[in-house]
Amino acid sequence: MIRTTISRDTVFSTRKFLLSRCYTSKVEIDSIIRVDHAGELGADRIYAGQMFILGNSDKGPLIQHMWDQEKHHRETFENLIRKHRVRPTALTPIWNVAGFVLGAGSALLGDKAAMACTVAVEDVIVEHYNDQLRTLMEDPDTNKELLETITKFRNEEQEHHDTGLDHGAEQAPFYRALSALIKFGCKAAISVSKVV
Amino acid sequence: MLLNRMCFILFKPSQHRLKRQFLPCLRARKFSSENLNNVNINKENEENYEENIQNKILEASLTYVQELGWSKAALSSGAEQVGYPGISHSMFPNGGGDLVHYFQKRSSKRLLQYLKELQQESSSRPIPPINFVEKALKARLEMTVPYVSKWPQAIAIMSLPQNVPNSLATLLTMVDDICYYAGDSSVDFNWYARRIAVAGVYKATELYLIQDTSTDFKNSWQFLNKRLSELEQLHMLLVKSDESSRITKDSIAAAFTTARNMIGLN
Repeated sequence: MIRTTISRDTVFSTRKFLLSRCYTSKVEIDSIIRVDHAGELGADRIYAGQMFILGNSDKGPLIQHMWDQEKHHRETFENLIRKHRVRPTALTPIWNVAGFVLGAGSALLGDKAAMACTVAVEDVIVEHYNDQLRTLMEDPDTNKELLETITKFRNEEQEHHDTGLDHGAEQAPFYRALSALIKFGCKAAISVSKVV
Repeated sequence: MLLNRMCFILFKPSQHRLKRQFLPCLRARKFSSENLNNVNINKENEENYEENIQNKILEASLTYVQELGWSKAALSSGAEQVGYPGISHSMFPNGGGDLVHYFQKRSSKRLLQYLKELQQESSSRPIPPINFVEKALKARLEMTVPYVSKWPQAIAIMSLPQNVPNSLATLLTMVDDICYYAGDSSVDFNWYARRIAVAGVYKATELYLIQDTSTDFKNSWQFLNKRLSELEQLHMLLVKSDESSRITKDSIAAAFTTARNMIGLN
């Protein structure tokens, strides 16, 4: 009884027919998939930018490994977009360029700065995934697939974060300022992608 | 033993009293929560009931549109036809706007049915996406044809500020359905470009349709076909320019590597 009334209140009337009778509404799931796809697209482009500069250095294979994982994440969310008929973010061209510039820019400051960039980005992403997992846990049965996907990806992002720290992220020039700036940028991008 | 007895004497009556005092309260609470549920269910039923009546009236009113236009007059004639007083048009504060919105929603639902059938058909014998879109748009516009003499009025009503959100939402839902069933799987900016393009072609053909005097609206369908083939050409052009931009990207990368070699960085 309570469930039906809540979902009725939260939906837009035009999309009523699309909604299942679950606690986490279709609108919320849409938003989660949209922002995660945008994030993984950005991450993919960041590693592309880093590889463009550092591809031939000794950190090349390490970055390549992380990049391959991000590519897989991105593909998974692209499939989820098709499956759930979610509107993708309208800002893909911007995230495309911004991600690449961030990756290449940080790599130009040296491989330690590139690692610092990875650590900052992954830190925000892990936090963001944890927030989403909390939302999805309200109704674990209906969101099972999404829950498992996000949990797996969260763990992999955490690994990237730790790898970055192991490879001297904290010795990067202006580590604190750099990290704060990138974190702020990521958070802003996340809040924009949730809606647009 | 004595103590026990004393306790019994002391407390038994008080327990009794407690029960007597609280039971009615508990009963009342139980009753009220049941009541609340009933009220909720009634409210739900009432909403459905009202919606059903509204839909019945709107459906009947559509038969009067050719004669009376998208107006309150059509609504009251429709209400009278299904056995309600003509004054029932006050159920629709938006008047003609509600009638047009109902028609659009109903057509979208029918189109969805058609799209599903078309998709099944195309699974055995593939239809190219552009032809799929053409068929879908033609099917949708054919639903407007019976009302074509009064359609300019409907367009005017839809573009009134208070009706814009509704008409935009129905248009975008329709376009999204068409693109989805035509097999669009893009997840980037193309997602938007395709939907906007299809919406543009739909609206342009709609405008052509209302002033078309040819038999069976042949000219309109020709117009639709031409616009869509133009769109396809534009799409090809964009795909090609995408390729050429990749070539420029590659050559910039090559120049960058050469420069680094010359400076001696590599």
